[in-house]
Amino acid sequence: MFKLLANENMKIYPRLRTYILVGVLALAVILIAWIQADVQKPNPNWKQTLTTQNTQISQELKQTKAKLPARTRVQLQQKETLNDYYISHNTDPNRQTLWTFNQAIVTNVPPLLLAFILVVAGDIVASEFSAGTIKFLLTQTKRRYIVLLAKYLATLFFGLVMTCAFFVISTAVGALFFGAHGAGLPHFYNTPSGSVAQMSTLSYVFMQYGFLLIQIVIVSTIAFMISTIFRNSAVAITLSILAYLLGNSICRVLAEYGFQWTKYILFSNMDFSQYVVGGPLVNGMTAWFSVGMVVAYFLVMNVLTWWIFMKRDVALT
Amino acid sequence: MTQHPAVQIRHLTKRIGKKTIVDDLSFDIQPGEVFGFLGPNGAGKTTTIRMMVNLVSRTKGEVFIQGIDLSKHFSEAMKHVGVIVENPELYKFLTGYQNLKHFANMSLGVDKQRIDELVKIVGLEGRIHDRVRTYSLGMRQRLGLAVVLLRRPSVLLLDEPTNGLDPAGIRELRDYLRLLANNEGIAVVVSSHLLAEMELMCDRVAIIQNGKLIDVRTLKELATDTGEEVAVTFEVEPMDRAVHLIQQQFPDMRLTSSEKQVVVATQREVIPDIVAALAAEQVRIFGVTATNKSLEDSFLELTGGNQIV
Repeated sequence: MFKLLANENMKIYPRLRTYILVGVLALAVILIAWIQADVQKPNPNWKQTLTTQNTQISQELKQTKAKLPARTRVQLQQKETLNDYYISHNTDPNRQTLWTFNQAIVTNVPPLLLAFILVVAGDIVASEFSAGTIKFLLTQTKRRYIVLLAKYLATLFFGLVMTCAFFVISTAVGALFFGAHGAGLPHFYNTPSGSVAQMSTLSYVFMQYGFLLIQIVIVSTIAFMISTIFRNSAVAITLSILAYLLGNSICRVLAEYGFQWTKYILFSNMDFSQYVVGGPLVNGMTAWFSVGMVVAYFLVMNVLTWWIFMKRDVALT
Repeated sequence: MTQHPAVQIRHLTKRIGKKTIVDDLSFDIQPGEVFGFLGPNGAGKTTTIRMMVNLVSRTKGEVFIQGIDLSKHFSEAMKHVGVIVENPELYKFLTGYQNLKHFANMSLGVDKQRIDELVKIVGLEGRIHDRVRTYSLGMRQRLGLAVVLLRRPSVLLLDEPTNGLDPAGIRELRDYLRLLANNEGIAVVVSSHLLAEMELMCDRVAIIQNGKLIDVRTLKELATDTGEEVAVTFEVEPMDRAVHLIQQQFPDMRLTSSEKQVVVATQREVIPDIVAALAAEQVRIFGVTATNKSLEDSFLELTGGNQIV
């Protein structure tokens, strides 16, 4: 098993493709750092800006009343409360340190990171069919399910490695641009119940990375299944990324329009940070409900993947 | 260990929907022989080879390799098998050596020494650390052969191995397969739709059409088969006397003559008698050529012409 994992890793890491992905990711992080450092200069009148913002929000809420979707109203209200909190605690939300930068990165860049992980996850089985190497791969002494298991574990491991690389890059870039401090500064956030809570920025960043890893496991599993079903790697990669991007936005839109059944879609349940920050996508969803949904989807997808792969005839291609 | 045939196939059947692609094939392949699957395109040769290594599932039937049931003990059975289906497709982005290492990792009991040994055997020492992308088809073929020989298999399955090879490459492959069969006692199974190639390469040939086994023939047997008719061409002078003589002395013999040749259909045993008779009557004989009824004729006869279904 260990040797098979080494094989799969040999087919992922020494390739130019992997370096390009990491390079683009690094470039994106540097770009964001540069914009934040250069464009968002510290604003001495930040309290006033926040107050103005809040007046605008209250006005908007009053004027539009029922026209706005419920979720948007909640988000505006949350922003208002948070701004009040910043003002009363005398904390500029736009102050820049390494850890606030890390926090901004981990909340905004994951779609890019995930898309890159999906390139590898969507490719890992399909490419063997595309290239015809599957004929050699399955005619050695290893049974099919073990070959597939090695590929799955290699996929998950790649997700972990990419996330670590992502963390290291954003920490290095953040330290370079903003100085290595700010770990202990409090980070304020809206709780699902509508109040504001605080946590050290360091803890908040690691919490978000934890939730991100859960998402990566699930999204990789989706891509792995697609990769097994479609024997063409270009199709598998495209479909995986589309599924992830569209799945997420469609769920958000559906939830915005108040469709209760949105909560049964996998994409609504993947991001567990919603139970700590901001509140769930659909009212009435609980963390345990999401755990149940995710586990159920996870099992179904894996059973399907293994079943298809075991049954599949490697016929004339 | 060698009391078993190298490969035993029993009632191998593949159906997809209502279509029967391979229909109840049964035969044995012995160690040290080169065995050919011969049949027109779409006859089920490739499917049969793929079923022999579980690339394609079987609707019915069993495969035993060295007496080991493939469906019950896949790993143990596959230890004895090396298989190349169509072209040897390898990882183009890895080097030749990395490819060998990759597949060595997937087979039990293959160490670094064996890899180095095979690199030498297939003559890729100079290029083994280059990416496969840069290899010619002939080199890829040789690397593919190295991959399947890693485990020291006693059964080698090759599906259309000469596809895309130039005549020199085909020759090289043929000699090498013969060497493996003779010196190492490996049972080599080759499939092809090219008759001439099979005639040169194989000891025995199974003729397959529409998924059915039509005949298994031993090629050497075919050549010296006493019952078979041979076409004998005589180059003689003067022609009319020779024709007259043969018709007189061998009345039931089919005969065709042209300006310089007379061709008769007869048994091999009779040839010396005809020569003697001609010589006795002062007919000048410039040449006698016996042509065996070729595999091609038998093949076309058996499969009813070039019909591709």
